[in-house]
Amino acid sequence: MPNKQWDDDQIESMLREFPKIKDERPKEEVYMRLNEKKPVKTKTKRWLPLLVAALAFITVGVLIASIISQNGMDSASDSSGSESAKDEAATSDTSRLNDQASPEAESSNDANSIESFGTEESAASAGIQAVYEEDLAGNTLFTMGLTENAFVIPVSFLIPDAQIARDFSQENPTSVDLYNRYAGQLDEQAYGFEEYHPMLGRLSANGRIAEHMLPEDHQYDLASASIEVYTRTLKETFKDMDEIVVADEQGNRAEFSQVGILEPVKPAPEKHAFYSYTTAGGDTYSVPDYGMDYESAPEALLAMKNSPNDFLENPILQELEFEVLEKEESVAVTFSEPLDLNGFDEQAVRQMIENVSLTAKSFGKPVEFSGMEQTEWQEFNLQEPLPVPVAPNQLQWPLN
Amino acid sequence: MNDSVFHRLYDEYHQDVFQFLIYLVKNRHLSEDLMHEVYIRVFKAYDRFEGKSSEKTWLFSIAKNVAIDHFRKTAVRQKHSMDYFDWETQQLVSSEKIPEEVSLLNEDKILLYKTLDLCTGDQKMVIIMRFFQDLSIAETAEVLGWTEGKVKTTQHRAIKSLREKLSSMEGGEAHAE
Repeated sequence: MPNKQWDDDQIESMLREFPKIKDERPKEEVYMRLNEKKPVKTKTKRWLPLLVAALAFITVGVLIASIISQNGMDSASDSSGSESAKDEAATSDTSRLNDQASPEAESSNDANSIESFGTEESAASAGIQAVYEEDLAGNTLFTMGLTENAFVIPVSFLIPDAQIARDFSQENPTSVDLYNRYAGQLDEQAYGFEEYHPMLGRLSANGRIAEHMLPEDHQYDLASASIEVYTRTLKETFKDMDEIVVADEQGNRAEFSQVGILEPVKPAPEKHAFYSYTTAGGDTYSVPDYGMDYESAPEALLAMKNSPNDFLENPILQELEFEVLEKEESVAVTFSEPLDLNGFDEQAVRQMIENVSLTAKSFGKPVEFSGMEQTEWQEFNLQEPLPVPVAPNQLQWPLN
Repeated sequence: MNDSVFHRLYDEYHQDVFQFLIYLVKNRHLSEDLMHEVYIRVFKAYDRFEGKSSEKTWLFSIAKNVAIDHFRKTAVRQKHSMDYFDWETQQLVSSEKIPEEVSLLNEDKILLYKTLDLCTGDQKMVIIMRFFQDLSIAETAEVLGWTEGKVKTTQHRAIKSLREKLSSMEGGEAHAE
């Protein structure tokens, strides 16, 4: 068959007939993204959180070693003491550990704030709240684990369904789809976190099994604390996956220094206590103490009275005393003395309520309070079990 | 950022510049990201804009630079396949698909658009500016920092190159008679 004859005039007139293509986003969306973005993106220092993780691990190791050697004699001589005396000793050890750790922690905070912020203000709005079921109407939940000081802080974004419809051809994109689409846009430093996302390598999913294929020179295994940050981040970011398989470039299971072949990471819910964590930028988040798993809700809730370290704070107002009773349908928290919520900073009250709710949630139950003078506080009806948060720490969307 | 400047630039040029980007890189999301980068660079340099060229050609020249930087980065990443996790490259790969608006055109036009990719970058750029964006020879010259003569020559060569490539393709499978 002979070729069609193309001539210059015909090509030119066809080129003139190409359609107009419009940006379908509303002007406000373009403006908002722009308005919140730092004008100049600082150079990514992907090794920094890994190094912080490594140093944090070493520092704690050295401190523990020195405390053990300091107190070894004391403990031995005290061995005839009662259980409660031992407990006290343990508590005082912890506080001494905290005391010694704190100057370093502070200076690391200072350094970090200079590093991350410069003259900028934190992008997170005052008062970070959890996401509840009713917030999901018309929105898609996108969770991520962000990092600072070798801690992983779970955060949530609510993406309007209209944007999801525009950005994805399929309905209900998975966390991996969401991550691949949006993680690159996230400016963590603007929120006061360290640069960690998007993670190196390539993420894909087959059903509910995700695969993270890592480049050879990744440094997620720089130290055991770096590995912990990495696996925690995977768990908090890909919560809808049954497991995340970590692979090398040849497609084999990745081998991490110190631990060998990395087992698939499973984001299944764990039974943790939640605490208040304040970033260098001054925003307070609800963060689980990943280091401890508890058998029961009362055990976890009572553990909240004691900060496990300098960074995770007891979120209970004025460290008030309370009792916990686990019921069939809920967990009851009763304050020993009448508690007037109006006497406290609103954000502190919310932090307490939400951290308690999040802790109870990891045991699959809502929390109900008694011993409070108010019958309701903001959106919460305190006379019945509180709504269970879907996810902690909502940050504003669009990403900046 | 000066709000009133944003609103004025948006109202006057946003859709034109966005269209320029999407015809270049094909992918809508990527164009949104590049558009964002264009604004960032515009506001960074706005105080230094001296009015030697028109605001319109100044914006297009920034958009051109943003797009070229993107292509350069992608090329570097493709050469080093074990480089950073790169969702932009993934998008670019998937954006082999032509924009939806183009896919609705007749086969000849789709073929013509695809054939643009076989031209040199300069030729593709000139075709998009001159025909899709309707920029004059003088405006195109200003955006690219060329003489008008070079724009005319490049445009002429681009059309010739398109004709030759299209004519050499198998008529039956390539386009409807």
